[in-house]
Amino acid sequence: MSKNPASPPKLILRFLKWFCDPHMHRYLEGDLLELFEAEVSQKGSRRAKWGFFWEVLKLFRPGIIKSIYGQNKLNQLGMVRNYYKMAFRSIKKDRVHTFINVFGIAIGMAAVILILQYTSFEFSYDSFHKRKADIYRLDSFVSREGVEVARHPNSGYGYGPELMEKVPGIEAFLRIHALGGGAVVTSESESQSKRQFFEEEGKLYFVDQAFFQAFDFELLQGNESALLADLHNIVITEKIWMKYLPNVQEPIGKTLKIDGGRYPGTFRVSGILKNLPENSRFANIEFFLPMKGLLTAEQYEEDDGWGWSNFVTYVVKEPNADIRQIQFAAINIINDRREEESEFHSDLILSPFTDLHLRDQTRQEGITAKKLSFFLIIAFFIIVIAWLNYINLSTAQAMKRAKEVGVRKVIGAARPQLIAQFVLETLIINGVALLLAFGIAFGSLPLLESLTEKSFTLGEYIPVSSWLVFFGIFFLGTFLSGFYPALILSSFNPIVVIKGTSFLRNRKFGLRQVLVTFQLLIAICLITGTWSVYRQLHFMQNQDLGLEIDQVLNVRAPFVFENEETVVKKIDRFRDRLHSIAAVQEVSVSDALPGGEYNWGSRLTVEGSDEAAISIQMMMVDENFQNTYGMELLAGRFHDKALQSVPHQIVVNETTLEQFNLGSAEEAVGKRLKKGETFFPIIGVLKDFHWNSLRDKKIPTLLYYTNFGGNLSVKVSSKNLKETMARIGEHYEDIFPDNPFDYHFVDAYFNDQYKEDQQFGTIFNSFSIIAIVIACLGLFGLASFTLSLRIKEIGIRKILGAKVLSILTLIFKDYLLLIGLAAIFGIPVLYFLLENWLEDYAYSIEITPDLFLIPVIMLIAITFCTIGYQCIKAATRNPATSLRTE
Amino acid sequence: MGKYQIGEFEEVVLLTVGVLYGDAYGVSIKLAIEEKLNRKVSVGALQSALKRLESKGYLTSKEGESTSERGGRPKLYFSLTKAGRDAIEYAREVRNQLYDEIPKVALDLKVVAI
Repeated sequence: MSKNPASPPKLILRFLKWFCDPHMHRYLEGDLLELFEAEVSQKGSRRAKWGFFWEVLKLFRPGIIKSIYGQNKLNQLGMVRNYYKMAFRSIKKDRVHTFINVFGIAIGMAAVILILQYTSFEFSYDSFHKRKADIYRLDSFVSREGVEVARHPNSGYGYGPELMEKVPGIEAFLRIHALGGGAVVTSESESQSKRQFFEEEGKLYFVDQAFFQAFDFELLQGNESALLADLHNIVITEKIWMKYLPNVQEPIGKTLKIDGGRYPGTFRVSGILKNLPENSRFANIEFFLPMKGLLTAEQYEEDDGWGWSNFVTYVVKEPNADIRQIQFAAINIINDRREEESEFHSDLILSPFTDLHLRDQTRQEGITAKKLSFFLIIAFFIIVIAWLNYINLSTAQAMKRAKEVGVRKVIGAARPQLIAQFVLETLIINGVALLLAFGIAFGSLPLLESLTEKSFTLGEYIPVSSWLVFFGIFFLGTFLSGFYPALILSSFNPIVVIKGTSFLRNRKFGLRQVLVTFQLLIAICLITGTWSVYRQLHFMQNQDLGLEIDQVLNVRAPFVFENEETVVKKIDRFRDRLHSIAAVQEVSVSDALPGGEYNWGSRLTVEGSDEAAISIQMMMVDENFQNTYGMELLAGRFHDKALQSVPHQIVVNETTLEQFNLGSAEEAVGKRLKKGETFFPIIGVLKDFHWNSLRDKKIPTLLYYTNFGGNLSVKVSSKNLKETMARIGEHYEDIFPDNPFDYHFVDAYFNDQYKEDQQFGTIFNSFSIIAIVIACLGLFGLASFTLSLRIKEIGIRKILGAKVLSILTLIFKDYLLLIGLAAIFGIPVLYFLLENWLEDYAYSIEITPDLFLIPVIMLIAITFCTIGYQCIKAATRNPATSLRTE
Repeated sequence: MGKYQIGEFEEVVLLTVGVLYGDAYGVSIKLAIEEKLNRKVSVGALQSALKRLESKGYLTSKEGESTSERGGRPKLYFSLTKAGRDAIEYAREVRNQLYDEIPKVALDLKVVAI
């Protein structure tokens, strides 16, 4: 036993004294001490002290903790409590306005949170790589006489090694190259049955070993420094492991067979990556094949790596190296390499890796920083509209609070106190709205997910700085929207107010009108934006492509086969079988497909002309391609299987005639294009067609003959589609038993190009609708208030003989004026924005007056719908009732 | 429970205060409950129950004499008010009434089951 057995820990006693209600403290402490003494004698001091501690902790509960308002009221907290009470009373008293305010602000805030969520996700792309700031991509920058012609993200496979060798400050390079056309992947293992699937292009990539050092993707199994050391290694993601080797505990060392591409074979799994994070530009890649292996393929063997230019090269600079010097050195190298002086000038530009997702200069489509800023602006507008509603409604309501203000002033409230009171009220409303907003945002997350096809957890990806800005705007907005009404309310002269005479001036152009005009202006902008996005999408999807892609089914040609000769025969047999199905109209073999890539690009000249070579794209198709896709022939003939004695026959499009100066279609037939010593006789000219989305301009294109390719296009009639497909599938599996039957409709594939535009459109539309709904709520609240002020006026007018219609005109006239003003200010801004947006499209709608007129008419209609009911009610009211009261 | 809103623990506390007539203060109530009902009672739970009952008007309190024990702290004695007695009475009546309404069979069966 210690020296002083009966003394409990001092610290705990002090803690008790600190939190305990002073009325109870003395008795409580007495009880505790008595118990403690008893405990000490029974159980010893140690356990007694523990027991004491627990008892005190358990006392820390409501009812025993002292009141936070304190015992002696030496401050003004009591007054603040009164403010709270008054705030809740006035909130309760006017439910419609409270609802409009809270609901509007909550929806607005929720929209801001969702947009913040989405934009943060986009901004977070690839931000998790430690070396991200040191990584650059080699882009080709093509110019003619100093003017940019094209900028594309590709380079030859020789660029990386040469830069690494000759330029100081480069630590590593890595190249990636998609396995074109996709491949069939097969797994065979003793412990399970064979699994075989077709994997689309974009899932399989050839990469250098350095890929795994430069980028931080989590490796689950395997030796990180030697993942692709062997020419037949393969690294796969967890997902692919589960797909192909689900029952295998140790996937390392197992093999996958890959058919397709330029480097088929059997590959040994050397590493398993955790599924790549969604916010990475490499997120789609599932199979990583060795670049070294690909480069042993025949076509690359004889090349020095400067001719083939469809690789993507990244370089990693040393952390301290100066990028400008590296850039300069790179341009010198390419200058040394340039063979002849042509009018086209090609340079290497190093693009920072961190810019690639949102500020990639080599592409226009997709999510760009520009689009994200559009969304952020909309979000900002939505919440501003909600706050303007608040200002409008609370100043309009001022009269109801006037007596309260008067009484407070008489009792002795100073103006700052009154202002504080009303700002506090705003804070309460906004606080409740904010809580609600998080609820709404959480609830509508699935909507956002389906709009963007990404998965989100609320708050994920949003950096602390964004939250700071968010709460900064929240408090600033709350304060500002509360401050103005507070200023008005606190300015009343108590004598006038208490006497009860009407003192509110209903000016024609008060601040309220300005604010409403501003709201209407935003509404016009958003409606016009929505309308234009819709029109542009509609335009693109309904433009005559020059190709008939409806009812064309694309069946993937076999990937697993012994040699080309036998497979061509098999394809012929398949084609014959298909023709035996009544619903099949045409069958065509091609390498390229509308909406997809071109097969080849080259630079050709016209025979007998000394003009510079012009770039032209090439598609490999068979003789049935024209009929399958309903292409119109202007002159000459299309390819014919029987007329292949002259080699390299080509069919070109109209744009080719223009750019190569070939004259009319008839004149062009028979002329020859040439590349080196190879000649390409033109046998036919096709009317221009849109091979890709309408974002892209039409470019010179030629069709080259082939009888073997990756795609089988089948034109079918729309009747009994299901049965037709089933029969095609049966024949396919019968003739190509080693290949999975994979198909899609060409029009769907083509329209996939517009997916991002559609997403942009849908997101834009959804948030515009929210903004307009909130603006309408405000109009509704304001109209109900201003009408209530005019009830007597309307009554008197009616007694003097005014008709319902003339009263309606009287009310609507004011609103029409505001809409007109909004339109006058809005249209120039809109014109500028629209022009800016449509610039990205090669083929776009024209900016015509109806683009603005229809939204204005819509806005008028929306406004009248919103306030119409109240107006009609006011106008048809019996003047006897409205004038009776006084 | 109609007009007398008391919980099970509150009822036990009220009863104990009644039992300890004149000598009911924090520790004695705690010990009495622990002894009679064979369950642990924390000072916190007891004190907040006492405070609640007092604010409901079932109990009144009176400061007792200070002694040299308990670090010189006085005891706070509790006693039942009229409303408190009514509340116990009411609770008891309700229970008895409910008990009487149980069909005999149910009770017999239970005996057999034991």
